Amino acid sequence: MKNQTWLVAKNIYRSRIKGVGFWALVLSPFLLGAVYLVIGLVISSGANQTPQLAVVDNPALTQILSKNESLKADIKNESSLKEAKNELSEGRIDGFLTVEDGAYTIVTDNKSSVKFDQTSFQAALTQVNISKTTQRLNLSAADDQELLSPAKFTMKTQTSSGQKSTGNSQTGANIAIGSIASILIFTLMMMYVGIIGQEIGNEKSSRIMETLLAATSSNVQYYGKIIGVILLLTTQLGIYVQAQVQQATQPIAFLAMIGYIGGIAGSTVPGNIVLKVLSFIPFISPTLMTSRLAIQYSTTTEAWIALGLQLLATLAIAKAGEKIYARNVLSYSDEKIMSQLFKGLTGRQAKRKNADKVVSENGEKKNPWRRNSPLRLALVILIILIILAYRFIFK
Amino acid sequence: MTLKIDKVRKSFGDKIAVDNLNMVVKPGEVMGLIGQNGAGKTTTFRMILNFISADQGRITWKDGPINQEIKQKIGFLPEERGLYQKMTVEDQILYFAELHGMKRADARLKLQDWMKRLEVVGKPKDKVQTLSKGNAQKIQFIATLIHEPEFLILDEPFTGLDPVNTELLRNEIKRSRDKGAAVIFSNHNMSDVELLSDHLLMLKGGQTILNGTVEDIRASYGRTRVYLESDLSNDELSLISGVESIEKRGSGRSIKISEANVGREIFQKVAKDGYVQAFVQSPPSLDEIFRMEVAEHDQEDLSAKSGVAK
Repeated sequence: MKNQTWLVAKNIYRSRIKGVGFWALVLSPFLLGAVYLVIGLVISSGANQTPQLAVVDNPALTQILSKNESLKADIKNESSLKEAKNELSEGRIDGFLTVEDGAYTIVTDNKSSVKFDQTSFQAALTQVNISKTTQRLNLSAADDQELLSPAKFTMKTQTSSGQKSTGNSQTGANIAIGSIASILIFTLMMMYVGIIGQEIGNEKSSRIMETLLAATSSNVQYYGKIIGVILLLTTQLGIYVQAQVQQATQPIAFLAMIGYIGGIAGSTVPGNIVLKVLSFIPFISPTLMTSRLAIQYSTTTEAWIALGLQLLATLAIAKAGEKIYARNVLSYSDEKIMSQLFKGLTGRQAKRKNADKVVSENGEKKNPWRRNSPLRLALVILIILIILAYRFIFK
Repeated sequence: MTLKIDKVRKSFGDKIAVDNLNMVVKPGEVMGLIGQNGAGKTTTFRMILNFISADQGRITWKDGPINQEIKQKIGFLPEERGLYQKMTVEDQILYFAELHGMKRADARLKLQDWMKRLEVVGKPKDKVQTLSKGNAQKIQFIATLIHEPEFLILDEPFTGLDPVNTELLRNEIKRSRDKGAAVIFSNHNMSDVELLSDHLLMLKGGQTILNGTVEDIRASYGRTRVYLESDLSNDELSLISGVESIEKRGSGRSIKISEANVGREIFQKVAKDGYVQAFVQSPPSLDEIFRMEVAEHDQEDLSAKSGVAK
């Protein structure tokens, strides 16, 4: 009855795609991005104006500072302190600079929306002081230059693939990609697990299952739902890819999140042994391994191993879920879901042999998986995990 | 092309839900399943549909197991009604029809016809949640029958419907039967069962206590009920030996007699002037039989228990 599975999948797809909920889901990152952008614009709107600064009665300093391009301010000279205070209180300037015994002070008021960048003023004024000192010591222009130039300094990371990635930009981009991928995968996973849950809950609460099971089987329903949701996911990803192709420069949502993501990725220690092992564990690996691979802390082979383990675990869980679904679809057991999942995985079902047959197809159909039971699958996974743990922890 | 239930037994823990159940439903026949709540009716349906498996015995359709292919030809109306509340009537019906192997286009055409016949208030594009309870029930009924099933299983199909709508649904079930479907349905209302069933089977605590055609079952109780409209007083009637009880019913009286011959005596007495307004001698109604049987088995259960106590 493959056809029926397809019908169930199509029904889920059709009803979801018609609903507002799905489109809200698809568009939410874009909306979120737009909101971030708007908030950012509103907050920074004032800051983009060039502040007006008056230097009180010091034309020489005015000239030096207005030549300094790192200072984002319009600078002019004002003959007296009184004049400067006037200008400030009338809002014609945003602040004034005074020099007294070699100490510099910028006075602003609280009406102005613009801000002076303290760091760049500090640097510029330090430079002015150094220049004064070199002049006093009669140093040459070259010495002056050398004194002012910063030390040459770069950071490099040696990766496990043997290459040396040249720090900053490359790693930064990789971290960003890895983190974005992790968050995207995680979010999508949560969303679609939620949808599957809703679908099942919906049918249980609307008491429609008996009608559906009279025409189909629980397996048809179960796998139909999973396929339907995968179709939805494919659609969503397809839309995102389309959107990126058309507006490659506009993944607003992701840009808006880069700072946030960078923080997360930066604060973790990618070489940590715990993270290394965790990145192989199914259901953690899709996010963790993705980011570790992106920042080149793991090799492609390791990523494939993690993917393989994930696929095996997914199949095992799907298989165990199939039985739980069949058992629970027409209620009627109070047994905890987790203990059922465990039983499903380990194949301990002797006691519930009858319940097991619930709604399963009658007749000769023998499931090839049955002999190749979930117990064995779980064992294989366990062994692989132990080997990996040995390889990375005890080596 | 027959449903056959052969010596089926099912228990849940210590509780026996159905014991030694035997039943045959042929094409073009309606089997009424009656019994109190918890008698085993729904369990029987669930076993037929393979939702739960029987502990013993066999359930077959055309001598084979009821597999997925056959399930597609079944129309099942569960006792617990349910529809996708947020789907439109049309989407829902078409989905169910497709699951039963029907083409969407065919189902769409038929739906119009069905909605008209069942006098559904609403349009195919309406969401189910906007329908009244009765109309939603009709929609579910349509979903059950639209694919023209060979075998209909209806668990309490008339519950919650007024007599007019009950009549509409009953006619559709008859129409389906006349086209050759085998029908099995359960009901509490005996007059509905009597109007629709060719056969009936009565369950009590999982045991079959009546099984046969409606006529045979009623006939087996003899013509021991007389409906009478006459001036003859109750006292005079009571004098006739074999009269067990007299109850007022409508504009006449219902007289319970010990055996059919007593009816002749009553008739002779009330018609001695050559005229009587109404005299009908018949077997007890199914309703009466149902209540008699329930009471009788309750009595047996009670004495069995007290016997154990002694």
